[in-house]
Parts: sequence; structure tokens; C-alpha cells
Amino acid sequence: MDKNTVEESLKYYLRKAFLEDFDNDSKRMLRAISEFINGIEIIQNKKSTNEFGSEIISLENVTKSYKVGGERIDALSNVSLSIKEGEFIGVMGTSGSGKSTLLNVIGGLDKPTSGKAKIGEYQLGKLTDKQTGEYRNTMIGFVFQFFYLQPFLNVRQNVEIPLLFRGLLESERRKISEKIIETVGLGDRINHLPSQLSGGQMQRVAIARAVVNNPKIILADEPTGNLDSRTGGEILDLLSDLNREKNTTIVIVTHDESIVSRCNRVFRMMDGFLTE
Amino acid sequence: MIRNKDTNLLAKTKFKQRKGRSLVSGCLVSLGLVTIISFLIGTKGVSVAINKLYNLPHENFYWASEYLTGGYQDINHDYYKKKYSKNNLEQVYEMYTTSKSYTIDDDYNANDYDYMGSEQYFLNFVDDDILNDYLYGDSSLERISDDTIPIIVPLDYLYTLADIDTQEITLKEQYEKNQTLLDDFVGNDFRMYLIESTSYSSAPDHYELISDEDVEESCRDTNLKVRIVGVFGSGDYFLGSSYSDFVMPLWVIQDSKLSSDLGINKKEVSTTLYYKFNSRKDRAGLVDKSTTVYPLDTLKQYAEEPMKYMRYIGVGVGGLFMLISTFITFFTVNKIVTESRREIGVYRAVGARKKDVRKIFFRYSLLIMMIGFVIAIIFSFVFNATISLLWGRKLYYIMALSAISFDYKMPLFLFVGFPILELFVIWLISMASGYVAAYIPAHRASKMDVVKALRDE
Repeated sequence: MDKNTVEESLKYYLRKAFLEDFDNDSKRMLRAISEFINGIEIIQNKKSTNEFGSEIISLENVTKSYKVGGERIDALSNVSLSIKEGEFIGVMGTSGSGKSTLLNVIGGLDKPTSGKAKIGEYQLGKLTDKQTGEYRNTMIGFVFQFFYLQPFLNVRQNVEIPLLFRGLLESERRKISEKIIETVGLGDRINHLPSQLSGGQMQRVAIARAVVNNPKIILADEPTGNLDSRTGGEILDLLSDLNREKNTTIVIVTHDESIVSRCNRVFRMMDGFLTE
Repeated sequence: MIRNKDTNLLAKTKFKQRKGRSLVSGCLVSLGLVTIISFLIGTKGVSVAINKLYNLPHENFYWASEYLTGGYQDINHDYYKKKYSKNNLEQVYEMYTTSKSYTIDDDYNANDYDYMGSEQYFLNFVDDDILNDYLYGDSSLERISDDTIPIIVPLDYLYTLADIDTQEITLKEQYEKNQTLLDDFVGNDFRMYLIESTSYSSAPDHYELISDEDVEESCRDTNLKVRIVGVFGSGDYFLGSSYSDFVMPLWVIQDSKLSSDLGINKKEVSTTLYYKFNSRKDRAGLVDKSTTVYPLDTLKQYAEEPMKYMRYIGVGVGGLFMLISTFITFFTVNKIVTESRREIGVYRAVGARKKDVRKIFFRYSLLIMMIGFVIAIIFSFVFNATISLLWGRKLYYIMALSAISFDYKMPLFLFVGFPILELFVIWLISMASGYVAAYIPAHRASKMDVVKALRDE
């Protein structure tokens, strides 16, 4: 890990912990201190650049434009980026800046209007329906801000949804999903319905669903946007763990600055343009 | 590619999502199916009964009158079987053909006339219970074989036959009330009486009354060659002075030997004889020369014709309901698709192909159809069984009379048949309707823009 990043991150946590005006609110101060300690841990756990594998996401001059009322709007303008396997990437920007579109293009949900997008072995935009399904199923795991769990399926069944579309047998699915659910710390809630879970637990289920197929890339769109800061932190810890332990590439779209310290790199989007 | 079983899992969530609406759709589907299925199994049940009634094997006749009129009191199944065996009947025939003016010897020996049904039963006669047993079935009668053809003959006819003064009828009043029992199931077309005779040995000679000419005359409208060998009452003698002559089974010659005598095919005879009673209420068809004789096949057709139209009505009306319910299912599936936007987005995002998405909604539609089908099957059978218990018996006996045959074992549920093939076809059709209903919505679902589907409002 380079020196600059460490310094940046430490500064961020320091600022957060000590330079804030707490108005004698000891609880908040204590929390800030613990966050600081956590922050140091996060920094320590962060991978160094030489730990990353080969290039997995490659966008070259990708443009995505929509026509709204006869007018062309570029959600992405000539975006080029390269992400290596195992990186933890943050994408920041105001709403409407095109960061979600970027995620959708990488995830194969949206086709680029022009430019090349190569994810792993897949040349996006040229895939058949079957290949698209396969790509989303095996390469990508999506985590959404509002979890999007199926309310009538229990935790295990929700987690197993991607496996359903892979055509796995129930016994095979069960083996995989139970292990994952255990990993995200919901082993005791395996038969609960989403309505019986808290927001943080629901997002854990969503993460379990995203990783159940062992994807190379996890795309998270504001995964903490709907959670309080502590639960959000736990969710990010979970993603960091995945990144570290399974070498999963993670791309998080957010406007939560606190995430920066966890990221290897942060991209910023503005009006469809990407800067690092 | 999602497995069928797993498609069900997801389709069921759609069902749970809109339980009320889905169930209402299912019930509407079942309404159409009930109409079809109910008519089909009903007419099937009746058809089976008709076939059974009109195709009774006529070998080994028993005379129902034996049982009807008290002869059954000392019933011995084997004995009756033997008594009305072909062999014995042949002897009766022989006797008839060789001695037309046969008169009954007052001092007969029961054994001599055994084959003629000449046992002397002192018939205390039919009380209401016995009559009920016969008319409405009773376990004691279950021992009787199916192969019986009794005919109930109006008393007037009997009077004519026997040249009996009406004054002799002393128990008439008593049996008037039995008439009401008969009325219950055959209306007023048939009358049932008892002749009380002072002596069972004072039987009039009936052979002269039922001559070949009579028979041929009454059959003149058809080309049938039939011969009535005897008119039997139960108990003693031919039409003896039994107490119980109100029932006179007519024996149709159908034995091979007799058939060849008459130069007609055995099968033809056994299935083509019919006496129509209803042209004159108080006269027996046999002696009423103006009465038409119908071949049994024609009658069977008459009985089956309405069944055919009933089926058409059922399929027509039910089909119309099905069409409507298919439309309603279409709207239901369509609504579910609209409401499942987010979910479809998620499924697509985690790797569902368009085909997989379509499958879920097809499956949901089929689920509605299946529920409709199951409800329809259960309801139809229960409904038809109930109708059978309420009105089946009456119809059955009307049918039985028109076929000149009482099958003692009336099916408990007349209107319940098992048209397996038809039910299978209906199942296929309802599944096809499910596909039709879901076709447009399912395709709409699969073509949904994933990004739009996942966008937050």
C-alpha cells in the first residue's frame, strides 16, 4: 500500500474522530474513537497494489446515451477505465452523474452506445440472451440499495435465486447457500422471511445472494444508503472481507465519503465523465 | 436454465403476492371447468347405466316376479338359477309348442312342473316392505342376478287375459297405495295390482290368450320375429292363481335352439325386443295391437341421444365460461407482471434469461388453471354425486323400465362416470388456456428493460 493512501485515510479518520465538534456528546465521541481504531484496522487490512491480479474490467471510450424528448443525453461520455482482479473500487458522484449507468454497463444490464467493454472473457454488447444470463450469473454479483429481496421466499431461498437460474439441484443449492448464509452471520435466520429481518440483515442476505455464485465482481449500488452508519459499516466490513478472502473485485457506487478509506482507488463521476 | 420445479417455487411467490386475485381467477376457471366436467361425468355415468341396462345378457333368465311377489321368501339362489336355466326353459318351450291347449292339472305334482315355476308358495304376499325392497333395492335382493327382465303389466290387461271379473279383486285398495310407490318413479304409466284368488289351482288357461298371432300382430310394425312363450306369474302355474300376478315377466325366446326354430339370430332377439307401454296407460303393450314395437337398439339410441346433447350443452356453455376465464386470467397475469417489475429486474440481474422469466409467468398462469381444474374436479364429483342421490333413482328406474330390465344393483351415483380420456383432454385444454392467457404478459415480462425495472421511483 502506498504511503499517500495510508496518510490520506488516517487523516480522514483523525478528522472524523477528533476534529469534530461533539458538544460534549461522549457517546458520539466514543463511537468516533472506535471508528478511528476500526479505520486503522481497515487500513492495515487493505491490500497492497502488488496483490492484485490481471485486468478484469476494461472499458474503452464507453459512451452511453439516452434520448429524452428528442435530445441526446450522455450518461457516460468516453469513459475508459481498467480494474484489476481483487481491487476495491469506489465510484463517487452526485446523483445523475452517471455512476449507476457505469455500474449497469459493467454488470451487463445496459449496453454501451459506443466503445468497448470487456469484462473477463466477455465482450459486452455482443452477447446473446443466453450468454448475458451466464455472464450475469457467473461473473457478477449485484448488491442494491433497497436490497430487493423476494418477500415470499425465506432467507435461504432468496440467497439461492442465482443458483436457481444456474439450474442447480436443491441439495447442491442448499450446501452452497447455507455456507454463505453462515458466512454473512445469519445462520440462525435461515428460514426467516425478509419481513422478519432488520435492514442490515436484509442487506446481508442480499450480499449473500450476490456472492452465492462465487462471482468475480461484486457491483454494489449504494449498499449502505439505506442503513444507519454502524450497520452500514458492518456491511462494508463484510464486503472488505470478501475482497480480501476471496479476492473478489468490488465496485461500490456511493456518495458516502467514509468508504474512501477502504478503497484502493476511487473514481469520481461528473456529468458522465470519469476521473480518478 | 431454471428447472421446472424451481419455476414452481417462483410462480408460487406470485400466487402469494396476489392470493385473493389468483384464487378468484382460479375459481372462475373452475366455473367453466365444472360446467364441462359435471356434464361429462354425468352423461358418462348415465351412458354406462344405459349400456348396462340395454345389454343385459339374457341367458339364464330369472323371473323377477318370483322375487317380487313373495317367491323369494324361500329364496335359494342356486335353485332359481337351475329353475330358469336354458334347459328348463327349453322344456317350457317344448311344452308350449306341443300342447297349445295345455291345461293345468289340478292335482299336479309340484315336481312335475318344477321347470315351470310351479312351486307352491303360499304367498302372504307383498307387503309394503317387500315392495320397497324390490323397488328401492335391498340387500336381500342383491343375490338376484342381473339377468332379469321383468315387465310390469297393467291389471286391466290381466283382467282381460284371465277373464276375471273385477269383483274378484278384493285387495285392490290395499295395493292402491303401492301404486303411489310406483308413481314415484314411473309416473302413472304403469299400474300395479294384486289379484286375490280363492284358490291357486283355479288358474285360467292363458295360452290361448297369448297366441302366436297376438304376438306377431303386435310386432307387425317391425320385422321382428318374436314369440312369447308364456306369461308367467310367480308362484304356481303359469299365470297361476297366485296371489301375485301383478307382475308378469315376458320371456323372450332367445335360446339358440329356439332362435333357430324361429330362424332368427339369437343376439338380435335378445336385444331387439321392446314393448312400449305408454301409448295406452292401462294396457299392456303386448296385447295392444296399435302399439309400436321398437328394436332395442333404437331405444338405446333414444336414451343416449339426450346424453349427447347434454354433453354438447356442457361443453358449449363451459367452453364459453372457459373463454371468459381465460381472459380474466390474462388480466390477472398481466397485473402480476406489472407488479413484479422490480423482481423481474433482480432475476434478470442475477442471471435469468428471457426464457426463464417467461417460464415463471407461464407457470403462474398454469397454477391458476391447475387450481381451477382441481376445484372443478372435486366440485363436479361432489355435485354430481349429490344430484345422483337426489334424483338418480327416479331417472334410473325410468330408464330401466324403458329397457324392460331392472338391474337390481342401481349404481349408487348415477350421474358419476369416469370419462378418463375426456378429463385428460380437458386438462390439456385448460393448460393450453393457461399458456394462451399468459402469452402476452409473459413476453412483456421477458422484454422488460432491466435497468428501468431496477430503477428506484
